[in-house]
Amino acid sequence: MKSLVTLASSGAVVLFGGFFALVFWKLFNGSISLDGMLEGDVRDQNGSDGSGFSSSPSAGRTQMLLVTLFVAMWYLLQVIHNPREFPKLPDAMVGALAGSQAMYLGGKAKSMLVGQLRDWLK
Amino acid sequence: MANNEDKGKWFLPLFGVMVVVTIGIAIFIGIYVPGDAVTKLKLSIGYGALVLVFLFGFAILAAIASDKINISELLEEESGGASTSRFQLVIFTFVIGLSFVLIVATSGKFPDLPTNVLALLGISASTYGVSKGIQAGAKNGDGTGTQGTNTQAGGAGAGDANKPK
Repeated sequence: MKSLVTLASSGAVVLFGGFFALVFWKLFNGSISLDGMLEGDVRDQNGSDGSGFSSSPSAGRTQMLLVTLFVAMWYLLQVIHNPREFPKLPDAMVGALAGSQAMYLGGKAKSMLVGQLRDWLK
Repeated sequence: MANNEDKGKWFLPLFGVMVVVTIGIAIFIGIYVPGDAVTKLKLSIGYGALVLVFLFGFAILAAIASDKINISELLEEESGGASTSRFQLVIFTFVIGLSFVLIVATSGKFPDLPTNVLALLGISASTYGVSKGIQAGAKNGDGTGTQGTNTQAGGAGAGDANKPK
């Protein structure tokens, strides 16, 4: 039965690895588009295309992306160093991630909902 | 691009082949592998299930690679433009999934999940959910459901027809 376990492990690695590789390949060759990931749309009644919006670089998105990549890389390195158990994340790191995402969501809610309110008051 | 009626039909004959291969392997083990009946049964079921799951996963991978299953909009909002909240959810899912496979392959047992890893996944998924909720709320708040809604400086794209990008 040991060979069955070895085969199952190898099969899981092949399937998961293949899936990750496919997604990353499609990210790199542009099949999965990352266009506009760091741009937020701002309500702009004088927008050039008449849609009522204009795009601008978003600090909220950028900081969340950086924190996400940092935490993900840190976690992967911990697993590679000791692949026998899930490493524990420091509470401070979880707090930083939660704060980062809360900031992103706060900025999004503010710009979407406050913009609506402002338009309604005009 | 296949129309809606043809969607998924390619998979049916493939699934038939997978089942036949699996049954063939189980029969082969049952006849040619030495041992008593219970051992043969265990091996047949074990290897049969393993082969079926692997072939199933491999067929999905092949379909993604050949664009029969289209994942080009994996990170896109319905109105276009990549979404940061989707991207972070994909990243964390991949990291935890890959870690899980590595740990199981190395230790050979089902690992314990620390609570703060669950918290990490919870935060990530909640961010995506709340982000979608904000978009839906803003869309409904416009009254029409079609008017532009995505006004965030810090947010992901919203789903409506008039949104830029």
